[in-house]
Amino acid sequence: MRILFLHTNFPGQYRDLAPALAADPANEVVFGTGQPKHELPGVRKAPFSPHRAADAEVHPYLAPLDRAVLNGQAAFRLCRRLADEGFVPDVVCAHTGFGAGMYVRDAFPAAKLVCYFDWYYRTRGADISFLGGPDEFDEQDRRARIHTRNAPALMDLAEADWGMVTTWWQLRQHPEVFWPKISLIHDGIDTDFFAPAPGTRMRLANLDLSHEDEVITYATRGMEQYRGFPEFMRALELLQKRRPRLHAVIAGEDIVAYGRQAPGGSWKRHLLERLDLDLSRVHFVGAVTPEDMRTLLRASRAHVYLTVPFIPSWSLFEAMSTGALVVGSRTAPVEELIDDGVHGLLVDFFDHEALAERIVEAIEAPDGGAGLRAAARARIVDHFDLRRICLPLQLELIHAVVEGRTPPRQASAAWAAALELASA
Amino acid sequence: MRILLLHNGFPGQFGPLAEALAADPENTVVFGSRRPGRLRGVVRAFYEPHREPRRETHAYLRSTEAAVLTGQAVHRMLLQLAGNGFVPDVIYAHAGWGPALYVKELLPEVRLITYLEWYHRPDGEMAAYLPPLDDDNRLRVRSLNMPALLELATSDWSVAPTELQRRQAPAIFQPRISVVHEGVDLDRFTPPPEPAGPLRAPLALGGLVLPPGAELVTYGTRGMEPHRGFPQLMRAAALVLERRPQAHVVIAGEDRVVYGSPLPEGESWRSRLLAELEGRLDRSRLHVVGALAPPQWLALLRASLVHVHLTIPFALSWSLLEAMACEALVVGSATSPVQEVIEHGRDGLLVDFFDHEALAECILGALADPGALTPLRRSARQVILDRFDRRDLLRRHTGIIADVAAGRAPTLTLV
Repeated sequence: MRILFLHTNFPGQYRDLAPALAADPANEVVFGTGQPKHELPGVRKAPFSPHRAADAEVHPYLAPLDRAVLNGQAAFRLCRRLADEGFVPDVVCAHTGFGAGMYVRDAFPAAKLVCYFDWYYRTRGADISFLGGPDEFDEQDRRARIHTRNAPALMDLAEADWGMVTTWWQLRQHPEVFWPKISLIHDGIDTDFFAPAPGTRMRLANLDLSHEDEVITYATRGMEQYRGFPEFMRALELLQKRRPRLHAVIAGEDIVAYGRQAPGGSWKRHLLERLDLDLSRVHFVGAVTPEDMRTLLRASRAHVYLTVPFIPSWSLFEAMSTGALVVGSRTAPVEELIDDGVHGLLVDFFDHEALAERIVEAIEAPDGGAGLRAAARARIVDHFDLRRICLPLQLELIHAVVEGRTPPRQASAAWAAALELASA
Repeated sequence: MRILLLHNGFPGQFGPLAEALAADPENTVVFGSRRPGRLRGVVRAFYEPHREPRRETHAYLRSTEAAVLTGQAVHRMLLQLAGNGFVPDVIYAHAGWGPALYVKELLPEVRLITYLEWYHRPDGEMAAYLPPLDDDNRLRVRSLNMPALLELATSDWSVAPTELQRRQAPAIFQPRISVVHEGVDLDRFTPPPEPAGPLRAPLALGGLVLPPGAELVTYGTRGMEPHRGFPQLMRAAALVLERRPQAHVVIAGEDRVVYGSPLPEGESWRSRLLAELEGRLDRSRLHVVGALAPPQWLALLRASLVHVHLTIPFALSWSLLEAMACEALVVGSATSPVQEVIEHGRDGLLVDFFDHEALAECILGALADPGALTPLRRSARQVILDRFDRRDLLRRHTGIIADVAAGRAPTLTLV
């Protein structure tokens, strides 16, 4: 089988699927991407990049479409080159939303198209409206702009032979008309790697807190409103006054990946200037290796994960897999995984006082919150395990689509039942 | 029920529907458009984009930009209407051009029905009938679908006029598309009382007077172009006029390209074909009469001895159905839009779209023995009576709107 991946990033969400397909000697795997860095074993990278910069003067609603069209054209040209070299894929796996797969049908009309659906923007009830907006008219303009942003995703939704989405929360952002051809299968978590190890101390590559007992953690890609960074820092200010021995380890870069920039450009600086914090007990460790991430999660007395209603981070799944005691936001993506008091503790996203209290509750939990931790891990092991569940299903999905059979609809019937999904 | 119709043109395909909805005293019907015009019982509203698309916008996005600007204009109009006390329960919008883009953002509870005239498939049924698209045009055509997709994603239901037009839509949407044509006004489009034959009296069409004894071969189109087989018509006309001294070919329509790729400035398919057929075409019996006013169009159809209708797989023309309602003898192309309404040998005669010699032979045969083809003429009108009676279709159409307004899924209707 010949497989072509298309993704503006590399390897992105295909980091396990691409090598798994490449490992089969019967397969040839090419990965078309705009990202020059990184390699994967057995996977041949083929670069594409837009032929010009995005149009700076374009109608604001069209800016994401302009970028998507440029990516789509670049990927299309790459496809033409590949065809000229004799590589015609049986299946194209395209990551959706940024245009990489937009014109695949025109390059390879006979290939099956399997799209990875990340996000669909709803103007009510999800990330856009959650953080609030200035006034009503601006609100209307914003809604129209956000709705227009879905055009590249809709091109893929319409053309794909099949699709994959990782959480039920994300699936139900997409218009219901498309659900019959979308499977619910997570990327998968390596639960052998992200496994508990009781007694682990907080010793990272650049930080040694192994002598401290009360270390809480927070880890996201960036430091921003989307992931509740301001709320966490406000809670930390309260916590430091109540808990003189408490330390906080914060992993991630001082960037904004999704939401609005802070006044002055950095939420970290913005908050440090305004909050009264004992900086000797706040440790910014930057982006960490997987090994350090695991240590961080294992040694954590309470791992804080807040998110607006948006795509949940892998770190949430990794934290639960490692048996961390998660104090999370009571928002839909987190609630899909955590029942309050069963798999973790939940708190209102905006209530930093309640967050501080629940963190204390976590730290003081009898026998370290063993019940919550075990339940969290079991949830991931039972439904999101990479090698035992998710990766085999993704492979089965691709084979089924290529061979014209109905693909598996979800990674775990039990999970679907737990979510009370209607069977399709 | 409060209904808002949206169409850049006026009234587009919505005239009879709007009036039928307005005839119900329980309804308030507003028709928003860029164009002026009146309909009985219908309140008019207007929207206008605040600018044209930029020249600098990516060529694949210019059409989408126009749609976005239209969507914004409709948004402003909706706010004005709301300020005047009108908030629709149902919005019925012509899809693909932008009016319905943002209606659900402003009015999340409104029911939206989109009328899907044409979804572009660069590799669809029509591809075999046109010169292959170069890559740039292929991608541009594919990109034209973005506004329609944004509208379909928020639609509660859709309507397409024919089965071909329904199956242009992505397969995932097809179960939500009812097929309902606008239908033909059967009181207006009626056959002539006399049997078909050469003209018994002179026929005046504007400045043109066709003489008694003329055997009329008619052709009606919006524009003269390959999409509607215009080149094949002209080549067949040359052969027919050569072999039948009494035949006259009458072409109604404008000399412009409506659907296909534009020609270089100053050129037209008409001038190209006239040049190609120079010396072989009796221009004294080939009449290009432009776009006809409705009474003249009707007179032409009733006087027609053979009506030619050629089309690639594309939107079905009203003109074909109107001709059939008048018991015209249709010589048409064996392509899907025509085949949906004409069974060869029963309701008309079908020939290969590209074969102008076969077309000429068929026309000549029909001119030679019009009486033998009377059953086909009768059957053609019967097809319209059975499936395209405007009154029936309007009932079905308003029923669909009522279903959607009440939150019921309409039963799919296949014509």
